[in-house]
Order: sequence, then C-alpha cells, then structure tokens
Amino acid sequence: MQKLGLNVIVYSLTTIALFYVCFPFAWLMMTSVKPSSLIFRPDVLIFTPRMDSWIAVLFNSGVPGYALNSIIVGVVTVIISIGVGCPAAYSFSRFKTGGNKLRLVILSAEMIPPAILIVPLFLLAYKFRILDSIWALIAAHTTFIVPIITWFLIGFFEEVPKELEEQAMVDGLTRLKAFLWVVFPNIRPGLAAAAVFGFILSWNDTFYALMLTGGHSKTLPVAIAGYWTFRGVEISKMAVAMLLSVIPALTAMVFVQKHFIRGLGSQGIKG
Amino acid sequence: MAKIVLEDISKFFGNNQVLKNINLEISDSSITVLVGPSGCGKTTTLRIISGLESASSGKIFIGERNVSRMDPKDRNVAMVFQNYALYPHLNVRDNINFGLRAKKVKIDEINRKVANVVDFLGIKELLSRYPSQLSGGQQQRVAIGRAIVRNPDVFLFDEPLSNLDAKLRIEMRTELLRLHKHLKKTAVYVTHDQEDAMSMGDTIIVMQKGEIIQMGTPQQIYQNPSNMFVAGFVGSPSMNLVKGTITNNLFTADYNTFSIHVNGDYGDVYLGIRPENIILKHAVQRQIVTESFKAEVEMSQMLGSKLIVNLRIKGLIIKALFDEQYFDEISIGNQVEVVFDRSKLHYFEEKNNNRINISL
Repeated sequence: MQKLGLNVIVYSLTTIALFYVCFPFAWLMMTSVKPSSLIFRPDVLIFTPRMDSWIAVLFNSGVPGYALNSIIVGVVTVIISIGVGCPAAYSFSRFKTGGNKLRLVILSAEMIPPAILIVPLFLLAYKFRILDSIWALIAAHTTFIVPIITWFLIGFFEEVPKELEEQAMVDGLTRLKAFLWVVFPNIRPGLAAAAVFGFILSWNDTFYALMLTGGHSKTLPVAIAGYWTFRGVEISKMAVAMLLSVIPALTAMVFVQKHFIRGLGSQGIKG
Repeated sequence: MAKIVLEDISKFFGNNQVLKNINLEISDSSITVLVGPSGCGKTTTLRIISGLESASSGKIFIGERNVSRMDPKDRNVAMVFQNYALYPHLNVRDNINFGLRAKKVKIDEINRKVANVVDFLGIKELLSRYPSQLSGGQQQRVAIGRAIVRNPDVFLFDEPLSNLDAKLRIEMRTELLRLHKHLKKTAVYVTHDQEDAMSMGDTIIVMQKGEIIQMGTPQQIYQNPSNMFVAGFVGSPSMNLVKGTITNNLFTADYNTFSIHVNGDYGDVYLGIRPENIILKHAVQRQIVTESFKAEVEMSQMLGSKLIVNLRIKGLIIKALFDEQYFDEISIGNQVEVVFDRSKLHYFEEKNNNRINISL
C-alpha cells in the first residue's frame, strides 16, 4: 500500500515535470501551424493547420542561411576548442599542471559576465576587421567553450589509467603516439559528448551573435530575434525558426546525455 | 648479455628523496626480486630501469648500453604492470602484437611470433576476445604474452601476483618460474609479499626507505638477516624479537623473563628467534638447544599441518610453529616446556639494529 502511494506520487510529479517541459514545444508547434487569427487563442486546440509560415521561413527567408552560419560557427568553434582543450585536459590529468588551482582558474572565464567581455572583444574584432563576420563570433565563443570542454575532458582522461600509455611507451611508442593510439580511442565517447555540448553552447548563443554579427553573418538566434520588428512580432514565423533551432540540439543531447552526465559528474568526485 | 647495473642512483620527488645512492648489479638471465614495504622505493627503482621515471642522478646500464637518458621505447625492456594494462579497445591478438606493430614489423613475422607465443601460453582460444571478457589469470597470461612476443632483453614485473587470489597466486608463481626457465632472460620482480619473493627469486633485494638493506639468495636472507628490519620482514609468521641485554656471557630478556647462555658482552640487544625454531622440549632430536622455559599456551591457530601458537613466558608473548601431531597437548591454558634451537638464534644491536655475529 505504501509502495503504491509512493508510486502515485512519483508518477504524478513526473507527469507534471514532463508537462512543464513539453508544453512550450507543443505550444511552439501549434503556433507555427495555426492561422494568424487563432494564434492568441490558446483555448482553440482544433483547427486546420496551415504551412504558410513554414514555407515562408524555409524557402522565402534568410533563415536557412543563418542556420548554416550557426552550424559553421559551431563546428569551427568545437574543432578549435577540442584542439586546444584536449591537450590541456591531458596535461592537467597526467602532469597535474598547475595543481588544483589552475583547474579552477580555467573556469574563471565562465564567471566573467559576457556584458563585460563584449567590450574588449568588440574592439578586437573591429581592430582585426572581422566585425560582422563569423570569425568574430568564433573567437568570442571559444572564450567560454574552450574552458568548458577542457574541464569536461579532464574527467575522461582521468578514467584512462596512466599505466595504459606507460605500457604503450615501453612497448615502443613515443608519448605522443601513445596518446593517439591508446588514450584517444578510449576517450572517444567523452570527446563526442564534449563536442556536442560545445556545439550546443555555440548554437544557442544570442548575446555575442547580436553584438558581433549583423548582415549576412547573422546566426539563427539573431534571426529569431529579428522577427520582433517595430511593426509587431511575427509570432508564427518566429515559432518555426525556434523549432528549427531547438530540434538539432535536442536530438544531439539525447544521444550523448549519458556521457555528458559522466563528464560533469566525474569532475565533481575527483575535485 | 643483459645484466643490469645501477650506479649511484638517486631519485627526488620535489624535496623528498625516495632513492638514496642505489648501487646494484643484476646478473644476466637471473630472477631478481625487489621486496619491501610500501614506500620503500622498489617500484620507483623498477620504473627507473624501464625509463618511465628518470633518475635524479646516477647511471643505468642494460648489457653494455648506458640507457640512462634513453626513452623507454629504446631500452628493449618489457614490463608487466600490476593491473596488466591491457588495451581495452583492442582484442587479445592486437594487444599481443601491439609492440610489434609499433616497431613496424612485417605482418608475416608478427603472425608467426604471435602464434608461437599463444601456443606456449595456451591462450589461442582467447585471441578474438577483449580484455573485459577475460578472467584475472587470463589477463595476466595475455600481458605476459605481450611482453614475451617482443623478445626483450629484460622483463620487468610490477607486483605480478597481487591481483590474484591465494590459489591462483601459487599456480602463477610456478607458471612464471616455468616461463623464466624457458626464456632464460633477465627478470626483475617487484613485490611487497615476502612469500612471493622468497619462492621466486634467485636473488632477493630487501629495500627500506629508499635504500638497499640486504641483497642475497633467499636462503641467505632468511637464515642470516643483516638487520632487524630484514629479520622481521622476511618469514611468515615473522621472527620473534625479544629485547634484552647480553652481559657476562648471558642474554637476559627484559623483566627477567628468561635467560640464555651466550658468548660475549654486547649490552642492549634484540634476540631473534623464528617460530619454527622454538621446539617442545620432549621433541628435541639432534638440535643443539638452549635452556628450557616453561610457557603457557595463550592461543593457537590451525594452518593445515601446522599450528601457530602464542606462548606466554611470564609477561612475554612469542609465536611458535608446531607440527599438528602436538595438537592435543597444545590446548589453551596448558603449560608446555620449550627450548630454542641455539644455531638459529639471531642477535641484533639495539642502537643500530644491525646483526651481531656470535659463535655458538
């Protein structure tokens, strides 16, 4: 009886949480296909769906191009971040570089509010003539994604026993080759999770994108914000663009969530 | 030839000196065991031989080559770690041939060498498995196979038996000795278990706090320990050490517990007597023995065909090892009369713990 009561409570709370999480997506979906006269009628659940907004956004607007910008920025940022973060994490893990303090210091970049960092970034982008280009955005994104990915990967490296690469070095490899042949294959799940996580952070960024990009270098979040015009909010089209921005990130997280949680959790235990 | 010579090897980790002027020579084709408690420097010594650690000062020679500054990959040594360090992402075949592939050996030769090794070790049926699918004993065989296939000059084993249960441990000792007999290569083992050391080594090196305390054959180490640390560390159950004084040809244990006639006058000393050298008076055969002492049986533990017995002589508790035939008379609370085998008594100076050689 007690177990039944507990189950009822657990399932009830889960249902409420699910509703809380899913409702915005359901509302977005409905808004994207509702006739404009019914958009502000949330009580109306039965209607004839219209694909006008989807057609307008996908085929008659710059949103696909801006989405491509987001993809390019995300991918390049992740490549740079992994390229820098991976050896850094290896160094922290194997050589205890800087002790525990340096590990915490690398996260300090996360603590600086973007509103402060944007000033020097903007000036640097202007100086290097990369304002209103994806390169300015990539540079800005690496400021917060490199530390996160480094921190994330330290835990995965520490799960690989150092005896494995020592064995490889005795077996005939240099340390670099031991890293590539032995350590790297064993952290592939962690790398994939880190890459997806970094991509999602970059994909979702609105602030730096608003500040550093403008015309053709806009990204998807900026494009979404662009539907809020002085003439009014194009809610239906905005909903379509929002769904376009959410679905890829959500799908990716479903596949890597296990490794993502492992990466965050292991650092907490090891300290 | 692949003898190993360490000359004046010292190692510092920060300000902490973990090895202090180690000088040793390991003969070609011999099995040498480095044994000692945790933190004594035995694993660091092994790692310095392998090249995984660099010495702070000193030289290392393998054969005629000075390998002091060489990378591990160039020293032609093979190492088996305590946890075997099998590559989890590779199957057994690829684990074994890893070193050969690293050296870019031709595929035909790789296949031939791997086939020979797996036949010798009896692990042919495991080739397609992954390390997670192997038992502890199988993992160890694969790790050994990976070492053998490279035909190194020296084998280095870091606590090879520590991860095995007691029964498998004894089996693997025999297995490793058989292997060594077949391969005839220089081997260095590190262990904290003195039983493993005594059963496997041609030469035992006992280490403590970064120094070599004694080096010798198992028999020399067991029968003539050079100081109290070696005496107490080697042997199971460990040697009884009784504090007392030798004055006017008489050893008297503290609190006048018992006395033994002995030549000399050495002041404060420790008397060492191994449990198996304490004999029931009526069981003496041809040994030269000391005076007899009355003792009370305080506790006994059955070990198959032997009994470990705690004897109380006045206020002193010592451990004795008796044969099971005396089980009936060794009951708790019983009084027994015991003697010590005089030829097996050891004396150590109290001030520096060093052995005193006293004639019978």
